[in-house]
Amino acid sequence: MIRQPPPQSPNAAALSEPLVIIVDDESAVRESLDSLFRSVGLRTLSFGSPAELLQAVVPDTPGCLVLDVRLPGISGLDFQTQLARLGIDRPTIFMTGHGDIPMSVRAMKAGAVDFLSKPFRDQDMLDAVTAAIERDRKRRSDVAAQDGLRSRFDTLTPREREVMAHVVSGLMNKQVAGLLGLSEITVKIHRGNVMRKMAVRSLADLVRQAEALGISGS
Amino acid sequence: MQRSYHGRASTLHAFACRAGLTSGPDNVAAATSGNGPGAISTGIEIRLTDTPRRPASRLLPRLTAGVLTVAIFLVDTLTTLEGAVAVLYVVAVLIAARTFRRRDIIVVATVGIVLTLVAYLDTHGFKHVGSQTVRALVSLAAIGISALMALQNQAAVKTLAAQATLLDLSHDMIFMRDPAGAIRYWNRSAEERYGWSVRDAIGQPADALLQTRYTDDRAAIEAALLATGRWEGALEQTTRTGQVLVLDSRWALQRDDVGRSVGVLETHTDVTERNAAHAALVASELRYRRMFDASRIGVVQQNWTTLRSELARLRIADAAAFDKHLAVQPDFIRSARLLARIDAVNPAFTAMLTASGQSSAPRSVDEVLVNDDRTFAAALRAFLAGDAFHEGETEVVRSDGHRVPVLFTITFPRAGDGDGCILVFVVNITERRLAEDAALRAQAELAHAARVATLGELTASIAHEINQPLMAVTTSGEAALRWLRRPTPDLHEVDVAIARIVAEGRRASDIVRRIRAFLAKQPVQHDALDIATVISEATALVQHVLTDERVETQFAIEAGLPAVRGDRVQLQQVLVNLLLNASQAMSGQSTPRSLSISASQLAEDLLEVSVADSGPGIAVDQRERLFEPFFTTKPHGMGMGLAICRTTVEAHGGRLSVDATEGPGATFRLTLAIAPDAGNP
Repeated sequence: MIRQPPPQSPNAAALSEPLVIIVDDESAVRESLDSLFRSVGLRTLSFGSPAELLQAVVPDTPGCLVLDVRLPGISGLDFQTQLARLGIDRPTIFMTGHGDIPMSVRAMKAGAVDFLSKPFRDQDMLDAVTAAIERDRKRRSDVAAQDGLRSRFDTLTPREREVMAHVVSGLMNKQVAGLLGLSEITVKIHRGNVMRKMAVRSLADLVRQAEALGISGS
Repeated sequence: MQRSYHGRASTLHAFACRAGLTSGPDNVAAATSGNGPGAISTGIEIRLTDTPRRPASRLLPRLTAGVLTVAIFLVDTLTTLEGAVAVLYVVAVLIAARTFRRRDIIVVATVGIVLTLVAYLDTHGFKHVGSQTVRALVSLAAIGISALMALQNQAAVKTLAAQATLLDLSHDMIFMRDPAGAIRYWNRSAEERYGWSVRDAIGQPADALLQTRYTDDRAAIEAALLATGRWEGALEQTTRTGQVLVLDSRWALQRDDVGRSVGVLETHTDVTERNAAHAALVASELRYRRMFDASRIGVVQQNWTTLRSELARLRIADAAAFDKHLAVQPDFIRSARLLARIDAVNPAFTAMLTASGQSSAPRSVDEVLVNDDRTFAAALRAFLAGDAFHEGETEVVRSDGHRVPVLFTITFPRAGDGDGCILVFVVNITERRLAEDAALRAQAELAHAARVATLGELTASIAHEINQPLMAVTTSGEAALRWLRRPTPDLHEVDVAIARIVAEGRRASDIVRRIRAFLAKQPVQHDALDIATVISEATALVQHVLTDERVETQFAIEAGLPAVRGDRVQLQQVLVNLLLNASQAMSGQSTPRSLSISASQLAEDLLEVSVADSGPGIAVDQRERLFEPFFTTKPHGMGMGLAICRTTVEAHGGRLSVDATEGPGATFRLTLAIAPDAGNP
C-alpha cells in the first residue's frame, strides 16, 4: 500500500508540499485516514507495518508521521526511536486505543507532538497534522539556517577563528593582540574579515552566531 | 465283608424262617423304591456270583459226601447185608446240599444212583428180580426224591439270600425287633447310618439304643400297629455319634401261623437332608419371593411363547434373518411387542408405572414401552443371537402418559431351560437423569462463569478490537463529507469511503456477535464443527492480547480436516484459555515470544490440536496439578481455567494434556473425537 509520490518531475513546489506518512496495520483505518488527509489536499503515504516504511523511498519533504501505538512486531515508540536514529524522523502523532495512558506518557517524553485516542474527531486529527507539519517546516528552516552559519564559519582561516573566539568573549582588540602575539592592526584586519565572512554587522550578531555554533571564548 | 455277609445271611435265614417272610420281596421293593429296578437286579447278580462261600467251608461237605459215598458203595458191594444200604446215599446227598450248590447235589445224587445200580448189578445181576430189586428201586427213589428236595431247598435259600441282599442294598435302615423290643435283625444301612454293628445291635432294645423320639404318643402308635398291622410316621433317632436323624418310619407287624405277634419290621428313611433341602428350597422360594416383592428394582416376568412360535412361523431363526425380515416388515416390531406377554410384575415395577393411584396390570410389552422405543428390536436380536442377557436404556410409559427413563436387563432362559420365562429387571433412572442434567447444567454454568472471567481479562483487547472498525467508520464518514463539500465534490472518493463504512460497520457487528456468542448462556450444542474455524475464531478473540505481548503466532493446520462434534463456544473457550495462558507465560521475557497452533488428524477417529509456547515451561511437579481446580501459578489467577478446560474437553469425549518435556516451552495437547457421521464440514 505504498502510495508513491506524484509522478511529475520533482520541482521546488512539489518537494515543499507537506507529506503525511501513515503506519497502521488495519487497512480500513489506514485507508480512511488516507482519504481524510487527501480530502484536505495533503499528500499521503501509507504503510501496513514499520518494515514496509523502512523499505520505501520516502521523499525528504516537510511532513509528519501518524502512527498506531500498537504495531505488529514493534511498538510505535520503539519505531519512532529507530526512525530518529536513521535520521528520517518527523514530528509524530500517535493514535492510541482505549486506556493506553502509560504508553501516552512515554510517547510524550519521547517527543511525540500529539496523541489522539481512537476514535477521534477529524478536525482534531487535521489540526494535529497541520501543527506537526508546521513544526517540521520550522525545524527544517532552523536546520537550513544552522547549515548556512556553519558553512560561513568553515570559510574562516584558523587565525580568524581564534580572533573570533576571543572577540565574542568580550576582549578588546589590544588584549587579543597581546594574547595571540599579533599587532593590534593585524587583529583589526582579521576581525573585519570575520565580520564580513560571517555576514554580521554588529558584534552582538556575531556573539549570537558564536553561541549558535557553540563557540566560546575561553 | 464276606464273613459278615454270611453272618447276616444266616441270621436272616433264621429270621425269615421264623417270621415266614413271604412278603419279603414286597417289603424290600417298597423300601428300595428309590432305586431303579435295574440297579437292584444287577446288584443281586453281583452279590450272588461274586461272593460265593469260601472253598474251605464248601470242601468239608463235599469231602464228607465223597467219603460217605465211597463207604456206602463198599458196604453195599462188599458186604452181604440184606437191606437198603443204598438208601444211605440220601445222607450223602443231604451233606452235599450243605454246599448250597446245585451242581454238588446233582453230582452226588447221580453218583449215588449209578453206584446203587452198579452195586445191585454186581451183587444180583439181571437174573434175580425180587425183594432186593424192590429195595434197590426204593433206594433209587429215595435218592431221587432227596436230591429233588435238596434242589428245591437250594432254590429257596437262594431266593432268601437274594432278599437278604436286597435288604442290605436298601438305603433305608431296616431292623426287626421282637415284641419285647429287642433287635433281632439289623441291615447294612442301619450299621452304616446308626453306627452300631450287627453284633452290637442284636439283642439291644431298639428304642433305648436309638433314643427314638416319637411325634405321636408311643402307646397310640403301638395300638395302631396292633390294630392294622402297620404304622407310618415321622420320628427322630440318635446315632452312635450323637447325630439326630429325622426319619420317615414304616412298621409292619409280623405274626406267626396262629396270629401271634413275633416282631415288628421297621424301615426308616433318613429324611434329615431331604427335609433340610426342602426347607432350603422353601426358604429360597421365600427369599426370591421377597426379592421380587420388596425389591426397589422393578421385575417383569414375560412369556414369549406366542412370540417364539410367531418367529418360528416366519422362519426367523437368527439375528440375520430377523434383520432381513425387519427391512421388509418394519411393523413387525409392533406386533412382536404385542405378542410379548407380561405374566407378572412386582410392586416396584407397578409403582414405576403408577401415577397418582391409577394402576393397571400391563398385559404386553407394547403397553409398557414408549412408542419410539428402539431397544425392543435390539433385545429381540440379542435373543435370536442366543445371548444370555441384554441390557439397555429406554423409557416406559406411566399410566398418565408420562415417560419414565429406565435402565433394564433382560435375562433370556437357557436353551434347555424348561421354564422359558423371561425376566426383565428395570431401574428407574429419573433421578439419575435429573442429577446428570443438573451436573451438566452446573458444568455449563461454571464454564460460562469462566468465560465471563476470561472476557474480563480481554476487556482492553475487545475494546480495541471494536474501536478499530468504529474509528474506520467515523474517519471514513468524515472524509466522505469533506470530499462532498469540496468545491467540486469527488464522488468516487465518497463512494469508496461509504463502501468502507458499510464494510467496517458489518465487521464491528460481527465482533459484537462473536463476543455475545462467547458470553451466551445456552445449552451445550453438539454440532459438527470445522476445527480450523474454531481455532481462527478463538485466536481472533485474543489477537490483540497477542499483539500487545508481541507474540509471534504461527499456524500449522492440516487442510481438509474432518469435522469434530461439539459445542463451538466451549471449544473456543478452551482454546482462548490455552492461548491466553501461553501469552501470559511468555509475558515479560526478553527471548522471542512465539506461539504455534497446529491441528492434525491423529487417527481415523481422532484429531489433535496443540498449542505450544516458548515460555519458561512448566515444572514437573506442577504439570499434573495444573488441571486441578484452584491451582494457579498466576498472582491473580483463580485457578479454574485449566480445570474447566479439561472438564469441557472430557465432556466432548476428548483429552487435554500437557507434554512432559523439561526446560523451556510448554505444549498443550487437545484430542477430540471426529464426528462419526460427518466427513468434511
